[in-house]
Amino acid sequence: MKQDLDTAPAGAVAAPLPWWGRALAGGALAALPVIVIGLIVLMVAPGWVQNLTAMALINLMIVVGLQIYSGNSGIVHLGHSAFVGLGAYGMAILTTPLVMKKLSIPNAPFGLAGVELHWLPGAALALLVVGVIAWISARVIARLSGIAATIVSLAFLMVIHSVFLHWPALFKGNQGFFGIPKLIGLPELLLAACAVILIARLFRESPGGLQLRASAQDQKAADAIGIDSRALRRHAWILSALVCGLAGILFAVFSGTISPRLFFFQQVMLTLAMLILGGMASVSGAVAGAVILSLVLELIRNIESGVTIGGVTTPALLGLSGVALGMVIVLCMALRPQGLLGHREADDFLEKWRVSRTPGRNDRRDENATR
Amino acid sequence: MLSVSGIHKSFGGVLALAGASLDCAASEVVGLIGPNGAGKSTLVNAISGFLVPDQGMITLGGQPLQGRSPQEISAAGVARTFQNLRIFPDLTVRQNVEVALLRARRLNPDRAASLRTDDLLETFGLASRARETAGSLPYGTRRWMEIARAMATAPRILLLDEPAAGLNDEETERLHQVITLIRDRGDVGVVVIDHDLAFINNVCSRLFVMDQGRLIASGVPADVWRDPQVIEVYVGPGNRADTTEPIR
Ligand SMILES: Nc1ncnc2c1ncn2[C@@H]1O[C@H](COP(=O)(O)OP(=O)(O)OP(=O)(O)O)[C@@H](O)[C@H]1O
Ligand SMILES: [Mg+2]
Repeated sequence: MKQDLDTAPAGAVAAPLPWWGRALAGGALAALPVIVIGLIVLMVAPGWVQNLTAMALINLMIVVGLQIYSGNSGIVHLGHSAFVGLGAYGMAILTTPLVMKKLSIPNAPFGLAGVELHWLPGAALALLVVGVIAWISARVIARLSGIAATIVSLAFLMVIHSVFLHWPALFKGNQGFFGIPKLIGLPELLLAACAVILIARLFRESPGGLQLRASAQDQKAADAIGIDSRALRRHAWILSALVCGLAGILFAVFSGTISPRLFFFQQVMLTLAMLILGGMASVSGAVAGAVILSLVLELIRNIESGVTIGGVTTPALLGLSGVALGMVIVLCMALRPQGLLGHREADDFLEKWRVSRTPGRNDRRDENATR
Repeated sequence: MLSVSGIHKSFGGVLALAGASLDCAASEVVGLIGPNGAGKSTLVNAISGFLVPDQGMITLGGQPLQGRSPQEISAAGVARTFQNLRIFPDLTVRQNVEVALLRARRLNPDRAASLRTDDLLETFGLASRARETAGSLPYGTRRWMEIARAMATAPRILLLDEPAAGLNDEETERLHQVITLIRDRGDVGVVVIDHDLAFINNVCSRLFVMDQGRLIASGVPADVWRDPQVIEVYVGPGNRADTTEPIR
């Protein structure tokens, strides 16, 4: 039905990249600051800074995982740390050497006390377990939208946490699960973080991701064009869980020790604050929030324990980082509820800037206005 | 092709539809008119699956539609716009249209095969704004985008709920052209609701007049406007004259 109803010049729309091209290019751009910081730390920073950076990268992966569900469906997810925990414990149970297992979980059920897998099948199986649990929980959660879904995600966190705590034969309960082989360091985490950023961006730009975002913005309009938002929410939930599970697996083989409280409220709040700060509607926002808040909190932790400036030592301010975290959420909600980047990706900003500098584009605008 | 008969729907005590009927063939444009509160939008909601009628039959090409979900009805080939504009504000104009086309390519590959996002954008005068965020568009442009999105579902029936509301004369003229163009494709029937009677008389070959949830007259415009009940409702005994030019 091409017709000359429009007086605008033809070809005003340059052929856009296919969605996966846009996703990969944009994802690379969002990952760029992470790569730069990571490489600098890797080359010049002392060991303790490398460790801090590694932990920040794990948090970043969790934030990006959270973004996959929350950012595209518009529903706040408070249960993602359950999947981080499931990945971490899955990896711990499957790959910890038998000698260590004799000490920690000698009575593990299902014959798991006698299982010691190589890291690759171990990780694959742990991810599979995360995927199955995500698939089951998705059947419940995807029926819901808005606050109901948020509450159920919180209930899910409580259930999984409770299982970790009260099934010591398998999870070793309140005490730390130790003796997990430490297999990776900063370089591997850096690679994984980049991969996760690309995955999240690919999902966001994919046909399914676009439809899910549309349904989050207007459910009725989405229904009217036949979008199956329930199925899409299910897919997003599962992919989000897998990414969070992967972060958990990597955490387990990075730190060597895990315990249930690591995958509970504190982590949920920290990663949620990062996502809210950066802006949950975009992957770039998730990355920016994670990077910025990691830096700020590290600074605050230093002040917290007292600093010496010009011979004067400030008193220790315990709990300052908790207060700061709360403040970030409050300030963000009050001043910029859509987060630093809003619904835009880094490449959208670049595009906007490029267009505003291109002469001729503005002429076209004027022509339009006077039409 | 679309056939609607004897639809009843009550909300609590309010009988919004009390035997509404309508039909529309492919390549036909019919008008659905009536005073405020007559039940026009409620009928559109019933046809498109947003509410389930208490009674009545809705069929498209012989297939019953009632009781099906909005998604299924969209897949069957019914597209609609909303009286209060519903757009995806954070997506670009192009994405607003494309998202519907992506879905149509899955649900109706044959019908959607000939559709291209760029053509739709151009037809509706949106090409130059394709990259803008939909939420930043002026009202009239949003209307075009909503109709373009509905057309991107490759529909067999297009239901337009007050498409001319808020448009100026020039834009209304363009709307007339666009609706004619859709009709001339030959495989789409269009149902237009509007209070702009001049516009309705111009674009529609048949009219359905509703009042208080009932169909009170139908037929070619010339006949309908001679119907005593229609005259009663529209120009009636003085006290109802206010319904001819609604503020909305
Ligand atoms: N969801 C609802 N709940 C209760 N009453 C409703 C609902 N939807 C519509 N109604 C009532 O049904 C009647 C018909 O409303 P409807 O919106 O269909 O009228 P309309 O013909 O589209 O009017 P207008 O020209 O003002 O758009 C009105 O009395 C309205 O108040
Ligand atoms: Mg109405």
